[in-house]
Amino acid sequence: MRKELVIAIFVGLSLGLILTFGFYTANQAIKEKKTVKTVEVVQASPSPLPALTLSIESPENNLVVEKTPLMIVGKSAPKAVIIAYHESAENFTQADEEGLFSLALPLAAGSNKITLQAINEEDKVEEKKLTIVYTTQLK
Amino acid sequence: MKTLKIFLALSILVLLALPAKAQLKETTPSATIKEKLKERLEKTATASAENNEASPAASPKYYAWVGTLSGIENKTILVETDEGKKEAIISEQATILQTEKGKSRKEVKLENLKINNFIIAIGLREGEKIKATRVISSPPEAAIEKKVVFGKVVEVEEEKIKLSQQNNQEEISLPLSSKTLIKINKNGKEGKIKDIQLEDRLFAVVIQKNNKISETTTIFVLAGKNNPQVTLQSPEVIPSEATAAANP
Repeated sequence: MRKELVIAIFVGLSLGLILTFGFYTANQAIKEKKTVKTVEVVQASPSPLPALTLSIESPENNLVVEKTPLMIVGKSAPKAVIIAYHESAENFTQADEEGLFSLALPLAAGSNKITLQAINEEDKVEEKKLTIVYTTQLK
Repeated sequence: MKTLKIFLALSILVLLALPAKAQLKETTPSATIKEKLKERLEKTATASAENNEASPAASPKYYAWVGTLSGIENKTILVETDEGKKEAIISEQATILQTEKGKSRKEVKLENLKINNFIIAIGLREGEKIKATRVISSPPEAAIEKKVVFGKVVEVEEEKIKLSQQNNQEEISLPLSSKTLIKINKNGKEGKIKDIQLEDRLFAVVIQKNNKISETTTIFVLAGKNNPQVTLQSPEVIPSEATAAANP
């Protein structure tokens, strides 16, 4: 009888603790959700543009290619205007909502020193350079 | 008593399982978005890499050091590139070509290469070096100085366009000629001067001589509030002087 009483008290205490922890966690979660909602409201008002970045996923610098046009793939700021040019050709595009872009640039035979620029709505510029050699005489 | 114990055990299990499930639910959407984004970027990069690579996937990738020949040491040449000095080890079977103005290219020996000439060394990469199998040398030539200028259109005339910049009080004047290519945002299709309106956002690739704009090669227009053109879609490739058979 005494042993059963001790077990009952222990189980009762454990259950009580678990329930308290459960309520506490639930409360915290509700508070967090409220905070997220507040942040969403703040974001709805006009906010500064995201930082302008420019990264090239492909092609690698100093690569030798046998095909033209060259596909340039990369990431910049959302809706940034992307311009690629070298001595004999140029092309442009606009990054999508996630900042992703792909751009076809015709190549000249031999070396192509390509300049890639990203320009955002605040007229800020980010620049990257690439050297690509175009040849059909590799083999 | 036994029933009570089973009931209590089950209650504890349920209570423990609930927060874990809730946490899983919270993390899933952002994880999925991240995965999708990563997948998309990888897919595009792979597709373009396949298009750009010199040879089929199984073949090795070729690289090139492009710049000025600054030295020859034994079987190694030093190339002054945009990223600094690079070494190319000339392989035994390498083809070394030299071009002179007004003459056709001829095969030469390594020691006959001229220092300060423009050079392209092509080969397989070995760390920071290249094992060159093809070397092309030509006299140094002044590069065409191109740059991008941009701003809002404040004046449009038959032979020039004036732009104002947010970060610069001075207006930019772009000379126009019959060679100037105008691309309006609607699918990047060719346009005419009459398609450019005040307040349009304009990007121009220009050629500079002595720090002055001597020629406007291409104009890209993002239609502004006064322009009836639709929003920019994926533009088509701008025609180039790139040759069909590339033989550097």
